[in-house]
Amino acid sequence: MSKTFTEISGWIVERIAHHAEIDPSEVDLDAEIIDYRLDSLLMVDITTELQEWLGIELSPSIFWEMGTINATTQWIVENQEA
Amino acid sequence: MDILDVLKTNAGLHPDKLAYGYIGKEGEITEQLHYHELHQHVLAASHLLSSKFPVNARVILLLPAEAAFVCSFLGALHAGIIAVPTPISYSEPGINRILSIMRDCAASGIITNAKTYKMLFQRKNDASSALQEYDAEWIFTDDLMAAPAASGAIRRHKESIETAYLQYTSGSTSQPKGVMISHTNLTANLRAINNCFGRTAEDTSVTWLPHYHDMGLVDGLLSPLFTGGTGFVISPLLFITKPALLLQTISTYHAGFCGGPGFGLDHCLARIPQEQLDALDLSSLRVLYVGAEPIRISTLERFAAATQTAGFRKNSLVPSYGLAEATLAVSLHLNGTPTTYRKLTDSKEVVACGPPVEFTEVSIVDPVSNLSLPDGKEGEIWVKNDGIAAGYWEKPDATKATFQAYTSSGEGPYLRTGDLGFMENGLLFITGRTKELIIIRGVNYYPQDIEEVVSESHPDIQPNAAAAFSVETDQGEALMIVSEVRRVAQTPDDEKIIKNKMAQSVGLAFGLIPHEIMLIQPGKLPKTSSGKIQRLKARELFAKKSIVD
Repeated sequence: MSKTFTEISGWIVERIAHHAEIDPSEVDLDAEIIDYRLDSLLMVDITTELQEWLGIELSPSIFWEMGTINATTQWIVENQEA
Repeated sequence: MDILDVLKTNAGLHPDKLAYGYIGKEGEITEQLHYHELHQHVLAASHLLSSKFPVNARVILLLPAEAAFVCSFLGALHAGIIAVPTPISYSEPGINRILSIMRDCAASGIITNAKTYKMLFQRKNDASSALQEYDAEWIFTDDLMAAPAASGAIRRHKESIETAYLQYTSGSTSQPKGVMISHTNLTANLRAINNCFGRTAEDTSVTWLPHYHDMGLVDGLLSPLFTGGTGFVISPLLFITKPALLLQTISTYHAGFCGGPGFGLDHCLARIPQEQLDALDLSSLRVLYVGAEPIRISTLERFAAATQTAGFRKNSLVPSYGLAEATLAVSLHLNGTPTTYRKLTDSKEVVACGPPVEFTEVSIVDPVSNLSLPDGKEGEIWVKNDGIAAGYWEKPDATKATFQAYTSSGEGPYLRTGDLGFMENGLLFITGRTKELIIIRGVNYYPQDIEEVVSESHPDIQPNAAAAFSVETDQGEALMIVSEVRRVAQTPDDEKIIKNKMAQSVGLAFGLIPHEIMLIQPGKLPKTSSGKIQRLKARELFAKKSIVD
């Protein structure tokens, strides 16, 4: 079952907020994810959880490749059927 | 008896014994390889590969931690093909790294699986197009594992001193160096490690280490096979997300042997609650080796204290020293005996990495004068034994400089490790390194590679004026970058944008987040008169400053 843009971006915002220990409202969809200064091990965790939640394979470096939550979500929306 | 002879013997002696078990997300076993089955897969793979590649062809192994890897690796060796285990990465810099290894060794084939193949080409970019266009034959493990039985497959002849596989030293993008490991090297080092550990066919081992690194391949995967025992494999990614699985597997299967970089121990403690640790039974562990990066005494002490209730014995901790150029191990602490600490200064204390392994000569040499130094004196560690590789693949100059060193009195040839240390009472202590290598979480990074990425990450960055080096933090070694910027950033915001771009580029290329980035004015980075960046001096100048700030 494909997920919508809002569902996916909401999920990522929630996980990043959780690990960065900030309020989800402070997470900006267009900010560079690197801004949140999450440890690379945590980024691996988030990517793995995201894969499980979506049920698709993702590149472990997808957040770095895409840069922002918006771009990452967009990429997933376009590719989740593949 | 090399690793293939041992496999054949064990497949005959105990065909139904478990050679490898692969652990899944919930701790369940997802794949199993029994000795006879493993041997048959190896023969079938060898037969198929022999029909496609000549002896000594280089074939890349691009595979995750699953049964197909060890079958393909050993199958390639059986076919006399030079196996090249390579890390999988799907990002553009990652694919470029794969390409640079393929070009360096002129690979003629790639063994991968359908899933990895799909991911590699999911996004179109210059790197994936170059990989697509590279003239190599792609072999899929679905075909290899389903290859028709070939019980009579003939092992293609090669001398035991010829290259069996290439161990690329991790990280090197610009100048990849493939260490040429022969069966002679591998057998000598496997024997040395396992004689020292006392590992037998009765024993069970667990590994989470990547199989494309020397430690993960030689000890993680091949040691259990070499001793006729059983090895459980957890993928590195699974260990990162669920470190409890590692200790749970040790506990469930009464494993005696495990190891890895110290960061693995820190990671377990950071993620596993004390109550969960207390419920484990780690009393079966006879060896938990720690190496691949500078060993921090606090890591050893904290782990031992936290797992005492679980029955872990502190004297099972085995500080170790080694490098890919020596196949793997150079010196290992003797398990079952207490570790030795030596205070160097008020703030620095080091742990002994044991005596050199069997049939090994370690010399401490002044790296400038090449003069042998007496006991207790710090110098470069030089090593001589049968595990020392013949050199780097088609790099005669680098090979001569690293593998054929002679002391001022003409003794040699030795391997120059680039690491600093001293010997005392027959024990080797590691104190630092002469090379500017950065080691984080057991992975080696070359500063040149990181600096190249930094230089291209933002237009305001001065070309050829960045220094990457490691700094000590509470979490171990971490990356610091100092870079000159053309216009000194006007506002804190400009500076932040540049720093973010840098961090992002480094993250994408290396999966590493810089601990600290410092932007400086043009001309402030220390360089030699010929324009070479002086990283150690830069560290001296800037790393201290950052602490004061």
